[in-house]
Amino acid sequence: MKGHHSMERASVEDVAREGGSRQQFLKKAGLTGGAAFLAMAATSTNPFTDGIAFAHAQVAGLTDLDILNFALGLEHLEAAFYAKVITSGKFSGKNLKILSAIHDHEVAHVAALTGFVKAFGGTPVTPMATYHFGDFSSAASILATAETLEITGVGAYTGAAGLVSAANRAKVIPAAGSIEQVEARHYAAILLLQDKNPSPMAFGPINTVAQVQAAIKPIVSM
Amino acid sequence: MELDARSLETPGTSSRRQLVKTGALALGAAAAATLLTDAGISHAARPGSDLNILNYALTLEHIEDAMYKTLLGSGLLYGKALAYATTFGAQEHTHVVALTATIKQLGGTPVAAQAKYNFPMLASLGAIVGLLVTVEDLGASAYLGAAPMIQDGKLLSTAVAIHSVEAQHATAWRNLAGMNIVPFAFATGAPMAKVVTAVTPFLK
Repeated sequence: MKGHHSMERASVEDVAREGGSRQQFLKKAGLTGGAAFLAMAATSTNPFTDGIAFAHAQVAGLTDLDILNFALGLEHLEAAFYAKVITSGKFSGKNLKILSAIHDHEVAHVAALTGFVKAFGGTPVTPMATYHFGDFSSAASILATAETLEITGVGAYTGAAGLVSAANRAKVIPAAGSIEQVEARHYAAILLLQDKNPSPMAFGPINTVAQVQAAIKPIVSM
Repeated sequence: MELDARSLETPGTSSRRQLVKTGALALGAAAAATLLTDAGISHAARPGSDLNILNYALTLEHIEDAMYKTLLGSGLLYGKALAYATTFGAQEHTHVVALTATIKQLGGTPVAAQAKYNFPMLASLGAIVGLLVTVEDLGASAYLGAAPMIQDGKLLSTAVAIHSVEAQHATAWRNLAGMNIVPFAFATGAPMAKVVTAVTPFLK
């Protein structure tokens, strides 16, 4: 099991070394698209009816391929983060086992989305050479970052789901939803590791591209 | 269950390696086709299908809402289980209210809660937690299975948002049950027919 993890870790670092520039990442991942469509607040009592508009017209430039590469960019980021987490020396025992499993999942998501982008005829976005994952001085600070990353991931997939074109929905949603559910389980697991309420709200977040960009900005900034 | 990615597989493939290699694209389409067949729903034939899916979700939320109410009234819950049931039960009720309002707003008739549900008699906290793992995992799978059939983008995102909360509930109950809380890299959507079969005993 340990050998398996270190192999996957090495492969993440390998691709990270070969990774493209931030500019390339952001551009290819659709992270600089300037999409300013509206979305619900996580605290909304009824996101179905509260007048939340996904202004599709405002993201006319965002193709399904952009959305998939956007997701892949986030998965690269998460895979790199957990590779660092499980080698940080701050975790052991059951908690390390959970974090190692989460790392494996993110690596599997990267592989699946890379295949997905290729199958759509696109060029899969590469990981950045460097990420800034913040304070790694304690388990608490690492888990706080993990919590932010996971809920951002959940919200990104949830928001993006509604943007996938009708033509591709039957192909994209089963796979994207499958990954989204796993991110939600990761989020709950990270909350449990902090002894927090594992389900703090009745509705998961539905993030816009702009909200996701803002959340990950400190990590992907040079 | 290390990986149960049936919804992402083409016939004859079963490993994650294969899934990853194939890129999950055609796989998703195959799964969706299966779902549509299983549920007997065709978009072309039934333009009002979003309403049907919302009522399907509402039926499941009514069950969860009633189950938590029954369990909270049983006096068998204590500690974290009591805290979780209180919080999650309130969230299921919020889902019921939201789905009911949405169905009305779209001109549909929301399915009503049954006056009575037939939940299994559970004598121990362990048995209750086990039941809730099953029900919440099923709820998450049900939303995932139905999501690709939703036509309206806003409804789709909202259904996925509820779906993530059901997965969080499942994670919490799995933790109390001493089970793996991050059991798979890819979640599996359940076809309507399978879900209906699973919950039918509760509806009698």
